[in-house]
Amino acid sequence: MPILPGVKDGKPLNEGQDTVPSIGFGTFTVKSGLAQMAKGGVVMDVTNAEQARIAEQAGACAVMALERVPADIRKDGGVARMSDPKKIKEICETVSIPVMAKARIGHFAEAQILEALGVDMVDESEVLTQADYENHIDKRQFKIPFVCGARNLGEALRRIAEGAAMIRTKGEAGTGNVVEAVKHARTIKRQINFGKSMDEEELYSYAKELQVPYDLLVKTVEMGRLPIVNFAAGGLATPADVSLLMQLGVDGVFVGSGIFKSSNPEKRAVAMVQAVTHYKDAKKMAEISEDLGEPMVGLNCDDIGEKWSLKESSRD
Amino acid sequence: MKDVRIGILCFQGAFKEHRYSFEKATQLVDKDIELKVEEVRKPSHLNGLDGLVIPGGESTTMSIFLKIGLKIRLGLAIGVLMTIERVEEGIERSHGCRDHVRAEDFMESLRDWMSKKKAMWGTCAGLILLSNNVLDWKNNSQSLIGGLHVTTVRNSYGRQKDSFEAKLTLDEELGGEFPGIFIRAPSIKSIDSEDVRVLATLDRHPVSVCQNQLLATSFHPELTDDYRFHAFFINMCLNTPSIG
Repeated sequence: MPILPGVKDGKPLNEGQDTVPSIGFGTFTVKSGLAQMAKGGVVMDVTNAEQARIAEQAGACAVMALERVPADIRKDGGVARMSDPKKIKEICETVSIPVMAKARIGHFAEAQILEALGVDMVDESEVLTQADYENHIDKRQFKIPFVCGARNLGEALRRIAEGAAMIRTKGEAGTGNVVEAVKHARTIKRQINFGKSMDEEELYSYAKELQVPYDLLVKTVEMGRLPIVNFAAGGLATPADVSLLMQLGVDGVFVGSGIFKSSNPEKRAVAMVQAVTHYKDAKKMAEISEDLGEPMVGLNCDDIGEKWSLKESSRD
Repeated sequence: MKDVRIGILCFQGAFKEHRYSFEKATQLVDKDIELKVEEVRKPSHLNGLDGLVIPGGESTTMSIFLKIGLKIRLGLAIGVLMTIERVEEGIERSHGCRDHVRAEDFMESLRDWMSKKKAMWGTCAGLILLSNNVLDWKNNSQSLIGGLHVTTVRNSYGRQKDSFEAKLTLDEELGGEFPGIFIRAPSIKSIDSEDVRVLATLDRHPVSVCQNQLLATSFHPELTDDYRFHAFFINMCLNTPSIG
């Protein structure tokens, strides 16, 4: 019965340095690979270790650590920043699923801190207060992957060009209103289809119009979808919302305030996870959706003071 | 022309990548086959499959889908104690809510299906679920499918920043090298039976094994354009008894 050297009583190998191979850390394949493993899953916003535990037990494929859930950021106002490292460490110690955390748009120092903390993926997020009017983070400089929000194909491909390994719709976080997420998912889909109808000359102009690298646009059009994993986010509150977005072709979903601002987070979390697997089966969706208690109180997107989805580099 | 039906467990994870790789891999199989790749989300989807893939994804997430059936059984037990009319209520009590997959016991169906000696392949999280022993540096235990006589360590290489790509050495029959992609991967700490054959190694450590009708890889062949492992599994499926 051979025992391998370097693995000590179930402790992670990186604590010893002798066995980790020296090549290929943090390559784009490895970064986008993590996103691929999250497919068909739900990433849940959590603010502390207890919520993270509930999310993991419900079957979340990852948790997103943040200071306050989006609904509270809307309510309380003020500057929203990266979470306290202590909270993030507690969450990392509590769950075995990947831990993601949010950094402000353009705030590469927050992202560096998150990387040092061992976070598995950074969300450069419009939910937090913007830190740079003009620039997004150069995500290629990092060993860990980034997920970024997008409202349309131009935004999505620009983020990919900057090194994002995963895209999500922006939607309108903290509203419990799915309308903006639907709009963004449909816009991206429609723009890709539009590109498919074009010949090469037209694609050059389209790349200029979208302000994206030509090669990336060609690849996207060839594949008929974004070239990396694409999730829905921003306002999903019910299993039916999940099914709607999955049927519009996204690979999985983020759920923010929708779970821990509802009356029965445990039950709703389980239901959201089931929905992402069984979204095509309407009969099953009916069972899943039954008796979940009150969903989060929603906001109409016309009534909100600030549309977060508009946060973007001014040069975009 | 022989029909081969391969199912992919589609609770969560990279299942589309597997489908694509299998379709490409048919060119590498010597025999004349008609390959059907199917999505498995319910126990009834297992019927008639020659092989099943448990894809990469989160093992915790997938084990929850497998465990839900057990909760129903507990619910039934409580229900029967309280007279049969209240079974439903029992289910409700056992799970805190009316169960989402009532009357479906995935683990039981899966064990049943496995007893027919059909081929199974676990990648990454799938390796964890197939292993007889799993070491975890966190305390939460998982329900396991088991069957493969190896001891694995979850997230053995560390977190995502420690994920990597490396060239693997294949055994003589497969021959040559293989691009290994390790995402928060488990490692095989020990091989606990002589029936287990090592198919691929990384720095002389086993990273892929097979044992009769079971195949496991701690890395992700479905994320590469090298389809030899998929072809290998199709051949395994061709050699399993066809009971249907």
